[in-house]
Amino acid sequence: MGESMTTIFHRMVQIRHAGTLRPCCLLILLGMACSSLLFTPAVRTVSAEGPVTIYFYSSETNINNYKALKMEFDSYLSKAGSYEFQPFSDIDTFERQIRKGADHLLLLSSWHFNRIQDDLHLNPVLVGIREGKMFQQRVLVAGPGSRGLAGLGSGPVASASNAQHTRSVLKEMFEEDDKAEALRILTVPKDVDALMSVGFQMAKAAVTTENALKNLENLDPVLFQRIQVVAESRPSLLLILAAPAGKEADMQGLIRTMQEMPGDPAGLNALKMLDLDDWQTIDPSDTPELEG
Amino acid sequence: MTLRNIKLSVFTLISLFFLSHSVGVFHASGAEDEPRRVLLLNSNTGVGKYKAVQESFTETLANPLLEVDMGPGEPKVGKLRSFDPDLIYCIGAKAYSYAIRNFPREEIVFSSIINWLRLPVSGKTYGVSNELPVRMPLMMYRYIFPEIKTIGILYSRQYTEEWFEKTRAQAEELGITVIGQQVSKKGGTIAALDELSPKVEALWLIPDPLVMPEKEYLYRILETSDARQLPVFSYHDAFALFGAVLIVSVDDPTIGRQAAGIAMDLLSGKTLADRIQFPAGSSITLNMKKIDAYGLEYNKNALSTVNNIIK
Repeated sequence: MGESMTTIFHRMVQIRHAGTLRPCCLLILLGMACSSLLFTPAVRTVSAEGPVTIYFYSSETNINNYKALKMEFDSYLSKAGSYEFQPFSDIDTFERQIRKGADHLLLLSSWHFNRIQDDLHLNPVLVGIREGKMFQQRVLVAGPGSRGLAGLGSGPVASASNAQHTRSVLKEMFEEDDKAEALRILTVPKDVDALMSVGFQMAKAAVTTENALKNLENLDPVLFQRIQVVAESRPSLLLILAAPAGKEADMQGLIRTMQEMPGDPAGLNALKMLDLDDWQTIDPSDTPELEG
Repeated sequence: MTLRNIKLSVFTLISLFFLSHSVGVFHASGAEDEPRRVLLLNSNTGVGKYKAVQESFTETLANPLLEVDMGPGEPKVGKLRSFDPDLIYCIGAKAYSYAIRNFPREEIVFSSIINWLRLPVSGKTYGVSNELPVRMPLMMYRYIFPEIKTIGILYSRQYTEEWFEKTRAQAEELGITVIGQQVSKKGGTIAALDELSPKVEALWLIPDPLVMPEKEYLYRILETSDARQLPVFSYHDAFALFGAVLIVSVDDPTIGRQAAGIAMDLLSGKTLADRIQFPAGSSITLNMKKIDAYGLEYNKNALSTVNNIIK
């Protein structure tokens, strides 16, 4: 009702500009529009325009199971309201989509958030937690007999992150943009693939996470012994749930539903598919990490 | 011949016509710093896996490229030669066999060939095999089903005995016991499975032509295992639809990117340490229906590595 009145108001203003609307009519319509806004619920659960969507794109993780992810998230979110989950495999399509409106939440890497937050006026709302930590560290690993960064030549460097993000991590590690730019990146689906690529010499090195390396140590100690860490990045935050500035209050229902994921079997499954265990609200003291 | 193949062939012929003329012009002008050319031969673009490989290859490589679909039939060699390729990239066995016969002087990169060792190779052959390093599926089995410690394999002396022995040794390093049962003649598969299944917690189904000489054998293995609630692990996504629990297969887009990397190295004059590489990417399919039906325990933390979930 409220939205349809607002639409009528906009139509009338357009007519006014055409020079046919009387001032008294305008006042009446203004009153109607204000009253309709007054009765709009603060927490949006159901929209006349369709479900509220969480748009997801990750530049940094091994997540490429989009169909399964959508299925799991939709199954969990739909129990709580008119919500849906929309993953993207391509960064440009994702960014085009989120520029179309502001009635959504975004799930993205902290690196990506940092790049677009000012342009798109985004605020961080929640951060992912894995094994009690909200930070992760990226590592560059190489095979046996590696001569460190100097021995990498032109690569390839295997990585489960997209090429742009991988290069950005390498630039930070090398502190020399030219060397990082000269390396060829081999994009692989998962961190474990990146590690195997080094173990079986399909790549000279791999950019992966400390967590993936720890996993490898448990799963295959023999392969782990053949791999050495040659550089480390600064810690960065895990996945960020962000809202368009000023929309946080409207999205409280959906944000709360996301926070409740670990307590629900379907929610926990969906969370595990993102390689997370839980969410935590972002504290202002964490923001320097978002600027890195 | 499909409509799509006809369209692609027409496109190829038109491209060849223009390229054969433009190549003549380039040569006449003696352009020496011209980028090096790649001829891409796809055995059949109608095959989804081949198409995915081709797409990622063309996205990665910036060199001038002529793409030819061999689905409708073998193209005329003269027309392809007029493109004057420096390197041939072959997707599938049909494309590779054609290239090695007709382009003996050019470097050839292949991919997406099941058991490439059966095909002739030359000193100019490079490629990406279609078989993951055996450690990869073993590691994923262990990661997703940490409780499963004994896995059975049906194999034959003729085709897979050597592979089986290597696999058993590698599995031991990962804390998995692999038990084998030899199939010695066609038709002996189910008897061998009957012998093997009481000793193991899962069956790893491998592509052995004596174990599975026809599709019927695949269905019977899966039905028999299902009746015993014996989880089947395998190598092809389609098997999950027939009841396999876990599939670890190659990731086709990664193969295309890898092949493009090899092509770039060769075109820039690099010497490659390994002429044939393993595939660097894997794709995981998990059949939740069967996991629930069999009451299997699985590691939830491993879900982020799963590409497809069957529910």
